[in-house]
Amino acid sequence: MSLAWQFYVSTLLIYVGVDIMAVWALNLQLGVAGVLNFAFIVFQAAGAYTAAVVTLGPASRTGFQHYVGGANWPFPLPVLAAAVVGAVLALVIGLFSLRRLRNDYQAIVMLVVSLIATLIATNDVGLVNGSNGLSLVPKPLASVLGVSPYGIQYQWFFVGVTAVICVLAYWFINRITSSPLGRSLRAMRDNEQVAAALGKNVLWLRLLAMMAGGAVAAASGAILVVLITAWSPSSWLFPETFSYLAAVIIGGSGNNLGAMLGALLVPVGFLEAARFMPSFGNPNLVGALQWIAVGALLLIFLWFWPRGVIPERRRRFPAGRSD
Amino acid sequence: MTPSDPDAGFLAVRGLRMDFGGVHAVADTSFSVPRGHITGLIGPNGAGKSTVLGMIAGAIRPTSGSIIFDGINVERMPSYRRARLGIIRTFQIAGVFAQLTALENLLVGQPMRGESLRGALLGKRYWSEEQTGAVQRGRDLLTRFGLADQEEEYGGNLSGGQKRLLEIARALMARPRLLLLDEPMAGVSPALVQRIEDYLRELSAEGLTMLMVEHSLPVVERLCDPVVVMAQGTTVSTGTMAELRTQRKVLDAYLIG
Repeated sequence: MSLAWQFYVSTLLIYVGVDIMAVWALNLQLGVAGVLNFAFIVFQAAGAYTAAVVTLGPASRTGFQHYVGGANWPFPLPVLAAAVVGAVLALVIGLFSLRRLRNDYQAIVMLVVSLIATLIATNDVGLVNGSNGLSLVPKPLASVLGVSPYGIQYQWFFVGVTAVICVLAYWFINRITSSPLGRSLRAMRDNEQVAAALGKNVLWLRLLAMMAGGAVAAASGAILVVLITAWSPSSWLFPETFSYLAAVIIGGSGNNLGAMLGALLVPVGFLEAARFMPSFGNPNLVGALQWIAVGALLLIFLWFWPRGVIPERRRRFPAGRSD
Repeated sequence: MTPSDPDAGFLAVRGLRMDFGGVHAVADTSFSVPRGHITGLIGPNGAGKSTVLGMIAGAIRPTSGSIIFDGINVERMPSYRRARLGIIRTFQIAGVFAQLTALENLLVGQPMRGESLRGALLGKRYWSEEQTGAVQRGRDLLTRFGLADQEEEYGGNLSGGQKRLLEIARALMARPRLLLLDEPMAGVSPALVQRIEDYLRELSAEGLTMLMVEHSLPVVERLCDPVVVMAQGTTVSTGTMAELRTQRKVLDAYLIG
């Protein structure tokens, strides 16, 4: 395989890993727990910013970038730090927004949270360097391995790192969804009042889904920021949440395998595949058509196959012993 | 101490008041529910019966008054904590979990280990045995209520009567100490009414305390003792159906209310 192709494929694979983790996280919140997290991208962004800030070093040394904190933590601490920030942010946002609201109002509030977050990040320049964002994020472990961080060997190495983190994320999410906790979340999704009447603490369950999903989303952001080596508000506008939402619904809401398929179809398939389309007409046309296509596909699925390509599976229990 | 004495009883409501804006849905209600009986709560439409049941279950916060369950004041407790104390309710519109199977619906009723985050992360080794026990209990209940064939059917696909039975079975999974039934016979076919009555009678014989809001007076007559009559937001009288039939104020309540 030529070097150019290797770079393309390896980059694509890292995107696949990032998007699969993100869709698993949103699936946990939306598909399993029924929380309409329209602010999803904020959690991936928080993870990206956190990982960047703890690897860039203190702000004064870098000069042209202004941001809070700063450290030079070795890998994998930035990913862990990102996950913690994602969980804490989810707790704070959840306590604010999700305490007493019905589903539909939750969605509106979360959307507003997403917009407010973008405004804060853009305008409070000292926070994460405003609209210019953070750049020159170093790639981890390159010196330890003795390879150039810009070479193809490092790239494949990082594909491996992404795969490992993906596996860990899957383990975490699957433990939740396949357990009685997962069943409680689904019950809350189906009928919150009844779930509470049976002894489930629905506020806590909702916060838990937000925090667990938020941690995994943030971890995906930590990987993504290493790949791109930069992160700014333009990387995480609301359409990004929309793309992941479409992935959850089209792939199969409530099903981790469906989530993987959705990730391959929407963020990776539709949005990455457009690289290969010959440009025609207005230079913005292809980009705009991508989003139109995602929207149209989502509508079609909501009309005809609302449960998605791989729907939530029916739980069966093994036959009992005959006494 | 008579059953109508608010100082007695497994559950006692005292001075319950519920104002929705300017409307006094419940104006000052006091009664008690004795242990081991099926207590009926009847009255004309708008009497406040469902509101009172909702307040006992924790779905509605009373404006004032107290609810004492086995010596504990519960009126400020959220519904999930009352459920953990043993107060389990059914709903007027049968509340099944539509995307869970019938057996899964029952499993939700029983608290178990894998429901905490720590428990879930510890994995099957930690929670699987307890769940298997619950599955067996669930299957036994499904058989008892004639729903064994529906074990893997989605809750949302069950018929109205099946949902009703499933709700009661699920309530039993929670090992209730007080079962609150909100019009269990509403919209139910006569044959099923008979079956549900039989189940409730069995449960009562096994010692389960119940409070039942019900419109069908023949059902109440066959199942309930004592019966509390409400009208216009307050208790009018208490007694057996036979006693109540002779009371002028009860008859008036049904005409006026």
